[in-house]
Amino acid sequence: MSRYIKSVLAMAFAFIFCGNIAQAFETDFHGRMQSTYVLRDTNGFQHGFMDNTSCAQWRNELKIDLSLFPEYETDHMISIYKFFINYRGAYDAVFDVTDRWDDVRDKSPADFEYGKDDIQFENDLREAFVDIEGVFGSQITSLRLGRQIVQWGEADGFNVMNIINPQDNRVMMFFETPDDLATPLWMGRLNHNIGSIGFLNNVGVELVATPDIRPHMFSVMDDDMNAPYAFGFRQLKARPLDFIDTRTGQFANLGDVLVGAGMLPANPFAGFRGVTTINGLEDVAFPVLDQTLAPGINQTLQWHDNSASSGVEHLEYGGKFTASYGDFIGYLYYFRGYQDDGVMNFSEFFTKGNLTFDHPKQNYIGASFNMFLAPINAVFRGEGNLVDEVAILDLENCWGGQGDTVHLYQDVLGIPEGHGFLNGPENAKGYTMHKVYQGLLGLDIDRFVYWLNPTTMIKTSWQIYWKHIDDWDYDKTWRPFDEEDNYRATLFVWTDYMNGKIHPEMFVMYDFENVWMTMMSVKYSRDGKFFTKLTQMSFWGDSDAISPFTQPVNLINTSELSIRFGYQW
Amino acid sequence: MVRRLITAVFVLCLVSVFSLQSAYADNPNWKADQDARFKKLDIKPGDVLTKNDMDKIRKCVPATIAKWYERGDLMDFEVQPYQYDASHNVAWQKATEANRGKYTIDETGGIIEAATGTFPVFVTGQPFPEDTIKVGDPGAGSKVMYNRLLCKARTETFKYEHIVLWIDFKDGLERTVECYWATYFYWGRKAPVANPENLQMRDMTIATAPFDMAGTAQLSLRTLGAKDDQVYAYVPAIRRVKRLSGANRSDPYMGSEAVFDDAFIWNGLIPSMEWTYQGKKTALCWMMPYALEHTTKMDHNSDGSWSCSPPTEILGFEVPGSTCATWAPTNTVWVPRDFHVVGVMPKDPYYSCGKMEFWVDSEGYIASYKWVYDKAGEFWKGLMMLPIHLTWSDKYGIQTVVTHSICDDKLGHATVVKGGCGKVNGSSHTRTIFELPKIKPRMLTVEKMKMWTK
Repeated sequence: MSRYIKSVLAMAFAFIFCGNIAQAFETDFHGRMQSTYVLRDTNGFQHGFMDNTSCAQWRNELKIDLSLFPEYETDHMISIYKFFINYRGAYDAVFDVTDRWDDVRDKSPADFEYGKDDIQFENDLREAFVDIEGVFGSQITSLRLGRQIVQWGEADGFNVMNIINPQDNRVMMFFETPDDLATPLWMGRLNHNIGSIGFLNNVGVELVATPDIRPHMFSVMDDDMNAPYAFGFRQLKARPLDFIDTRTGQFANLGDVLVGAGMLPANPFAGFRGVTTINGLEDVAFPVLDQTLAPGINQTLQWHDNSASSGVEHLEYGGKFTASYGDFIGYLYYFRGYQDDGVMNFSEFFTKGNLTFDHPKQNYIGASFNMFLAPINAVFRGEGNLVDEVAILDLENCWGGQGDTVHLYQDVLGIPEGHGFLNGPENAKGYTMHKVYQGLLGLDIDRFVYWLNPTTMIKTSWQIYWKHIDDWDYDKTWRPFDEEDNYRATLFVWTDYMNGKIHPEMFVMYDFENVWMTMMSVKYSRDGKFFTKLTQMSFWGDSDAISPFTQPVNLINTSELSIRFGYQW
Repeated sequence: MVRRLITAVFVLCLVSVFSLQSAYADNPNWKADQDARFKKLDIKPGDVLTKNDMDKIRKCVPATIAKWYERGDLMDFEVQPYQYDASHNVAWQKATEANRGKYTIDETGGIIEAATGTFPVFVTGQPFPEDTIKVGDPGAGSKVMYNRLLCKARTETFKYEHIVLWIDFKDGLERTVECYWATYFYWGRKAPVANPENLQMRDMTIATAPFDMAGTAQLSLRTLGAKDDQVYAYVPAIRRVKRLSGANRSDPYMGSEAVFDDAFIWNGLIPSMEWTYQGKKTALCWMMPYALEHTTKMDHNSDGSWSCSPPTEILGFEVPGSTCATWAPTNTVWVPRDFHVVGVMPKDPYYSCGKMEFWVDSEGYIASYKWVYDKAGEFWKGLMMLPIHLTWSDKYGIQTVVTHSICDDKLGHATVVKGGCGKVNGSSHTRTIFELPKIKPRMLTVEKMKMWTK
């Protein structure tokens, strides 16, 4: 071997084995096991406390966190700060202990269209990321790559600027913490802290980019909507809707026209009159449409998701700018991504029996701040955003999207556009795009209230929230689920008793349309390892209110009590 | 000639050895001072004070300690002496002397430069030499506390890995939480560092176990002057940093007996209290036996930091059949020390307690005792620290503790913090670390909080 090669090999050997980069790992390993039993009052506490109950869930869960921190002998300009893995595995025994939930399709037919196996079992490496740090003089850059959760904003209980990770409601409502409800995404997050610039301190920038496109996930939406947490959609299918009433009436009228024109011997759509629900359509209308206007139409409405595929071509990205001045910290945000909460696309409703959740792309611009107000010893915070295009259900023109079949009959009958049966552009989908504004102000106040708790402060958090849909008019038939403006207020109270052994919490949200949500829990742990937690969640108020708690699903008819036992280390 | 050479070398060695000793022994009178304290208390090294010596015990220890002993909470008092000079080293004493006349206390109780009347941006050494602390001086109490603050800040950066134990008087250990505390001091350094935000210190506490606490972090930024701290908490369950009130210093920490101001007996804003200097008292201070025999030399690590894990006390609940209280130490000894005694009243009418009394070691400036009374004036709880003397880099002094104990007489409950002392009660290995390069200002920021944990 030449001297040159030997020298290179020797140098390499020296660098690898004798260089000053030897390191060890500091490890953190934690986890918890818990079993949660959820008892559902199927007509809501408002209509009688636990008078009509069923077991909605018996979820047994294992969650593990593992952090590895490399330890270096010397500082490096670029180094790995830590590796982190979070695993969650679960098994819901409710499907085995009761036959109440038997009629749920077993398998998932497509992405984001779930089956029983998706809700009975979970085996998920939820988070797996690496933190890389670069030190450049007085500035520091951190890069987090991998599957992770990023939460923006200052709001509790609302997602104003917290729009990066979608929510997962397949097996839980709102009992859980945001950490458990958020869907982790594969993404890159870059933080660069500049330090002080002029009169501004803590100046920094955060950039996020994710090719992992996922929607807000709901439970199994199969033919029967019988999955425990698909109750909302089952309710929606059974709910009388003016839009359906109007359209079925128009079908019946069409039939009368066709009979009058001698094209049909009898009105096949006569039975449609008075059908007001999706269930009614499935029972009465779809079989007739299959024989007439829409051969091959699904006999039971099929629910689909139309999320963009994951990939760099559909990248979601955004950034956050931070700066502080004295006690005031402010943030500016921008995010371009897909609407997580799908909007229902009705363009194949009466022709193929399909309902699809669309997720149009949109731009978010927002800001938030927090500051400490010494005179009242409270933290004042706020958040607001503008989303340029939000798809909101608007059924007025969706008839036009029913395809060529209906157009053909329109032409045959010589019915002009805009008259009678058919109106609206052909591509109308049942929703329209609007600018939406959201704003929130919050005040966090902690006080000693000795008669309530002689040893520990009572922590309270007060918020007022406002949402405005631009260029919007509520209409009972065509735009039945949203008002132009929605106002809500929240109060969150918590404290500790008996040296932290007992931890009660209460969260109340009031919608100014006269609807309330209450969520109360008490957690007990004597040794910090074994714990038990009792939680209730219920909705109260006016069932006819136009509120997110009553439209399109009336949550007042569903209240839940859960009890949890667990062990953590 | 060879013999002369050997003799010369021998003499040189002797001179070197004794010179080195005298370089560490800042107080050449330390032994005489200690003997005087023994004499004042009418006790001798090796004495064991028992229930038969209650009169003497009441003269030798603070009243609360005597009360606890009388009711059977504590072991007998085995009295031992320091076997070395436990004062701060020369460089620190010189820095302290250089501060003579430089600083004073303003009407808020805060430190200001005597020449300019403004708060100082950088202070090193104790700002107030010992002989400037006098009874009758309205600022003397604050002076004691600022001296204490600077003695703590000499570590420059400080990481204290610890475990918090909840202990019931009857049932013993209830639960534990593992944490560590990282502080970056702008004061107390050999030389000033860039400080564009005018901070006195940044500190972060992070819980590491169990699962529901792991990753919970709290960051405090203490501004120079009398302003409330900026306080932020990172809550892993919501993956967000929440701003907290910097004024809620008396709220219990995680349901324990400790409040935020109780860390190292006092971690609050000095101007937030009215300090009244009550004078010097000689009393027994409890210590680990090895801490009296020798200083603890910290290990110098390859990253430039200094660390140690000396053993800590064994508590009553850990010893089957122990006759002392569940929270009380079973393996400590007592040494006579001089204390500055400072009475304290909170200025904040909503502070959870009434008057307090601090006993601060007048040589090491570690606070050994804090007695807390409720708003009705009744005794509520006692805080005690077990100090140890450390040697690191070119510095030494009583610098840290292996245990904080907080005993709540009203609730019959105690919180004990054991830290920097290896594995304890099933915890990970805990260390005390100074001058850790990883603890930099840019690591103790709001944005960085999210990266420290998940």
